[in-house]
Amino acid sequence: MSHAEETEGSRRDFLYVATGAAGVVATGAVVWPLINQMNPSADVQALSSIQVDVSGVEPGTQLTVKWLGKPVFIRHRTEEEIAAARDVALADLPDANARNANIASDAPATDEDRALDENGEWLVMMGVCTHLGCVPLGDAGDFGGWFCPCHGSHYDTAGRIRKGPAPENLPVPVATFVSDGVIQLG
Amino acid sequence: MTVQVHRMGNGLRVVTERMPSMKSASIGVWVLAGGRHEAPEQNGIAHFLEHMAFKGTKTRSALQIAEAIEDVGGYINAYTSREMTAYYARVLEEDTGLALDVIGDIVLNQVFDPKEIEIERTVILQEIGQSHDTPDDVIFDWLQEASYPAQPMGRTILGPAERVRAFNRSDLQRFVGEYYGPGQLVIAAAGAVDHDVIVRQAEELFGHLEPRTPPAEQGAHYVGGDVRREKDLEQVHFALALESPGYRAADVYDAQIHSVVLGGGMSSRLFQEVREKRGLCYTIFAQASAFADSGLLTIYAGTGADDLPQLAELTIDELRRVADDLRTPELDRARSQMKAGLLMGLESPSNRCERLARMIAIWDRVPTLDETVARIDAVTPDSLRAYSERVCAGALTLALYGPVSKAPSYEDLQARLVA
Repeated sequence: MSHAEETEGSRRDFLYVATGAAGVVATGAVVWPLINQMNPSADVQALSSIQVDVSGVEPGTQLTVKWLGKPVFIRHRTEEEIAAARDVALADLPDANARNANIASDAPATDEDRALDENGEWLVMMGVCTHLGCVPLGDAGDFGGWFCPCHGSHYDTAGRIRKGPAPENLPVPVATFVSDGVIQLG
Repeated sequence: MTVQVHRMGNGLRVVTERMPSMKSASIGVWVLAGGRHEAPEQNGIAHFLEHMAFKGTKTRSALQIAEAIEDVGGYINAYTSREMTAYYARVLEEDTGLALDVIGDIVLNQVFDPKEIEIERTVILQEIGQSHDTPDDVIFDWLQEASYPAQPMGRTILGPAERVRAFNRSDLQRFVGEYYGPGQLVIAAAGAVDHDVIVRQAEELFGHLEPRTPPAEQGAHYVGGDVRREKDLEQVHFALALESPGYRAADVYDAQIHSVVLGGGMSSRLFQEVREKRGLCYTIFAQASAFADSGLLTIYAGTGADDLPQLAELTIDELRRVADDLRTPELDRARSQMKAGLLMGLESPSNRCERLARMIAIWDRVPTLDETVARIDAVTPDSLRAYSERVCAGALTLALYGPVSKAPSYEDLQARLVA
């Protein structure tokens, strides 16, 4: 049905969409089957948790999974990355709060309070820039961590904001190891 | 629901409408430039440019553009029409800022990497190929060309393959320079949106643009004509056009209701006479499309080579008959179809967003639904009969594709229309 001012006639679309938009697309192909099974319907999402198999994630690489409609970065850090993050003085951090949902809300932003495990090998955080919500890029930026291309926010190897307009560290969601190699989000 | 409009210092307009209970939003940038704004040697550049927007910016690669939106489960698309180019996304409420950031980036910061230009050139040549292999697509391009010969309004949006093969970086930059100034841009958003937040972000992303004046637009001048192309197809594709009013004309709603009465649904005259009573076709419809200064009443049908003469003559007879025996219940039904279609459509944030942008482009304000409904209600049997006589007094345009040898001549059909 056309309406006087609403339709102008023919147009050429960039994408020809043959079927309805796919619900969820696998971001990390490795974890797709697990995520798919665990994917909750929209109305129970608020309460949902998912389990992610990280046993195949080598040091120096990261897995991006989608949880509650948002990307979550799960990084297996190298010793160099851990050392670099632990070598930073709190006074150098624009945001001195750990922003970690698993510990006290006023905990300081030390690397120990950001990482998931004691050794600091695993870093889990929301992949959403705290400035305007873009998805930062991994292995990038002036501090070897993440870089948001939208407005140039630089995060270090602990996901802490170091330079640029973002006001806060990338938040760490509720996460825990439920068994060897399996992390539960939520 | 509240529509809010903000005009930036440089002339860019921002229009938003919050839809209560929505959890998602549609947001985009509409550029008041399309196929009709191209010089002859530029034909196809608006569409080429729209494609190149997705191929990389100063800070994002093509893949990063796609990932940025799809990482949050949204989708992004764009289209080029004769008068506009739109870049838009559908995302969840909390990702609206991200979506505008990405769209702002692809509209303002394209890099036109020569390698990407070459790749996209072949994509567009494939798109042209697909269009040529789709009879009920390409026939509308021919109909438009015959309606408005040798002028921007008649040229195709895709452009001829030989032009697309020749475009280069500076052609793209020239069109951006001419038509992507802030006065030609409208940011529209509908759904779970916050006007103030969007305005703030729009100022941040687009506030630095300097106003500039685009080249003068060439008016559309309807002529009419006849295109027939023989091809070994199962069906003859038959398209007919007559000039109808542009969207600012007083009788634009007469034109809309007229097209609904004639061929808007299963109860329409053409559907009943041609398909239901005689079984001459599977598809037949009429529609009225409107541009700034002209419009087209278009009828399309596909039929067998032997049935074409009867179908074409019946179509002409139905066109004439509206002025003679239009009945009030038909008008009322068409009116209801239009109103319900409008309201149903506007439950989607994408459609609502599209409407906001178009209304700002056309009227520089957004008429309320009550105003639109009042204009639909203002159409009377008399005004519709008078409109029908006017539209049938014009010159025909015909486009035929397939086994066309038995088709009636242009002169015979034109004579039948005015007889």
